[in-house]
Amino acid sequence: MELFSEIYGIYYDIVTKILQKQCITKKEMNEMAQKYGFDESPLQMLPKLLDKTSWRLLTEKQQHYSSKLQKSPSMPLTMLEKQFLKAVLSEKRCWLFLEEEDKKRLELLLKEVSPLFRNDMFHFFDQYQDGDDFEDIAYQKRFRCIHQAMKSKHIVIIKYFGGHRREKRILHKGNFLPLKWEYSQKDDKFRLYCMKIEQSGKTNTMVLNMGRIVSVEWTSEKIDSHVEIQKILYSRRAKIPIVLKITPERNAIERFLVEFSTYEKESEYDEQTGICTVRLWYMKNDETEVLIKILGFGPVLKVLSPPFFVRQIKQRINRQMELMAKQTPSLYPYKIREE
Amino acid sequence: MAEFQELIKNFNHLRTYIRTFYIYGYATRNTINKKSKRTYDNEKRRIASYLGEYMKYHYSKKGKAVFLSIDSAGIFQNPFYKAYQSKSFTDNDIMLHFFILDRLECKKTLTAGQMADEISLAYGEVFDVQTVRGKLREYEKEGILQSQKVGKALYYKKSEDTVERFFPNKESMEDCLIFASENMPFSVVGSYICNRMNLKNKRFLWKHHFIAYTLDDIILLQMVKAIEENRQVELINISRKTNKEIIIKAIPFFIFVSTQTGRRYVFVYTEKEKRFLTLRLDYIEKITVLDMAKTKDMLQQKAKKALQTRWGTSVAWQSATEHFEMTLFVDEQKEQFIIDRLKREKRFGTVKRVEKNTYCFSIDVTDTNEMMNWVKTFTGRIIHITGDNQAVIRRFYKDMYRMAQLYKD
Repeated sequence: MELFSEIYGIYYDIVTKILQKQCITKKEMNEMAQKYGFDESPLQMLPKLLDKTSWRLLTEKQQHYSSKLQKSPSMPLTMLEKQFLKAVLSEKRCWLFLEEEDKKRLELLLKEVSPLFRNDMFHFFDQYQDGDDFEDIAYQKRFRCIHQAMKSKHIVIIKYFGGHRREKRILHKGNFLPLKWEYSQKDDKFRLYCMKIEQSGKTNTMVLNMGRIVSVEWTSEKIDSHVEIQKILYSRRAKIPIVLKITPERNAIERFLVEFSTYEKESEYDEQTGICTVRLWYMKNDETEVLIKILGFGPVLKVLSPPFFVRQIKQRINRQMELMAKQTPSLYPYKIREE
Repeated sequence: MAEFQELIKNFNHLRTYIRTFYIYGYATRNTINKKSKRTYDNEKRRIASYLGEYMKYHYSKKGKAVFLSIDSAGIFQNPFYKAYQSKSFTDNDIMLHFFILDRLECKKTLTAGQMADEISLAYGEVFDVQTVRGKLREYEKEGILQSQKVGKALYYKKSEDTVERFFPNKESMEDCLIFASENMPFSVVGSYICNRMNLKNKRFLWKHHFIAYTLDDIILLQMVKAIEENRQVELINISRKTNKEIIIKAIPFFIFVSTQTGRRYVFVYTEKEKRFLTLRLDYIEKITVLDMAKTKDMLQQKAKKALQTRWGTSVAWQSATEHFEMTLFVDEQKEQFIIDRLKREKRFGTVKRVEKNTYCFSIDVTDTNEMMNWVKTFTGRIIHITGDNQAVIRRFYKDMYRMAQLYKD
């Protein structure tokens, strides 16, 4: 059982699509290789397909090509795929998207198949502990209602808890068009990208934590508008990147680049000094998360810009110095700078 | 000079180069520490062919650096899955693939000899029986074909587990498969199924999504097999410090996945050193599954115990733990989110309210040092820290002092 095998490859996939056609021209084959293949696939595949000594899967008649096969090609599911599906069946997050009928059918079909892996083989040791309760029936109901509304573009009335105000969370209510789910493995939570529809008809894009939604009510109203999520994401992105210098101390360069690999970045390494300069782009609503992650690296890196970000770091360090001076002045006699 | 081939035989080279371009992104043709310039050129050209839309360049004194610029919050499908679709094959491989499946669709069951004859008759292509038999066996292993012995003859038929049989209603399974194809171990397999069904992600965005994990799934598959079958493994590990290959014979127990740092590890026991170790999956270059690990059963309890008091992946050398406490200032009126944060991030530690606006986090842990990155994320509100490991405590205060110096106006 191979994970890296030509049977899952792009060339086999394109050839399958070509052989599924009754008759095809060279130009059409080229277009298919361009559409579905890698950049150089048309150049590499076409000579093989057309050459009478290479793949020999087609017959040619007046520059029109047809498949030598008698039936339309198809491949059954492989054992690897079936074992993966079996593992999917024991994944509680996947249940949210699985109809009971589909689940039962798959369980029956995969009765004799062992899963590709067991969940207890994997330890997600730093996953947050307040993740969504995927096994809660009420949560599942609310989730499915929103998911259905997302598919059919129906408006739903959502009641949810907002942020804290004086130790209490405030309950909000509104009409929403669900747009996309965002899942984070670190938080083990779903967030809902949605469009809030005010009574005046004004709309506003929001992100709600699924775990804070307490009720969902279906309405018969539909909106058939197309919302470009990429535009929303782009508008949420910080326009100026964070620029920082990382020293090789404590393997910081490697640790930083791996940890921040989920972000878009550019890096430059100076072999003489051993210092790496990184420009990092981030979402504005993740600013605090990025800030505390950077603080976690301590003195092995320094943020150079933008100034407002550097200012926030300085404020936290100064606050820290003040706290330490009060508590342990004899041990650590730091001079506190005036703000 | 051999002609450039877009497809590859060995995933390992590609895996290393993609990581170099994606994670580090600063290596140039002159500085990259690999076999030859020609290898670099070929791998770069391949990656450009698979992932061209993400490939960018910048210029430094040492030359042109190639990097893959990907914001994982803005992608719908992990682009590295494309690399898994680049396996090379021979002319015979592709012809036999389509001819065999076509013949079995028409004739239902055939022996290897009959298959060779059928192929010759139907398509005018002659293959020797041994070659055909080899492919039939290979496809039986992959689960595409099934065999049945009748007398002395071995008959092959196509598996009945078609995509249509499993998923009669494509739409109802769509989101389940898309979700699984990005968020589960071996998610690339989910992407293979999605490709067959032509499913596209319409409803999901991903956050904190470590897309490079998929590159190590090729090693992980063997590791999981060894764990399941209680087998030993031989690993070729690249030392981070010396960049040299180290061969390790070990018994694998668990896989540790970090959802925050972009690293996955395997937790193993080495008979030679008589101790538990954690090894980064991305540093493992090759894995061979060996014979049964006879001592694994006896080590299970020890393994579980070694894991109980670890903050991250450090393994206990002895049963003793280190006590650690951190006292924090939290404005209860305005900063409830800090208390929530402590609760969700404390792992097996405890959080107590000491007095108004003061909270104490305490823990008994294998290695205090492992926690210090997390501790420093609270910079600005740490009243004091105390603990058994004085060297680590001292370093924390020194770090704070160094930070103050670093950002001094």
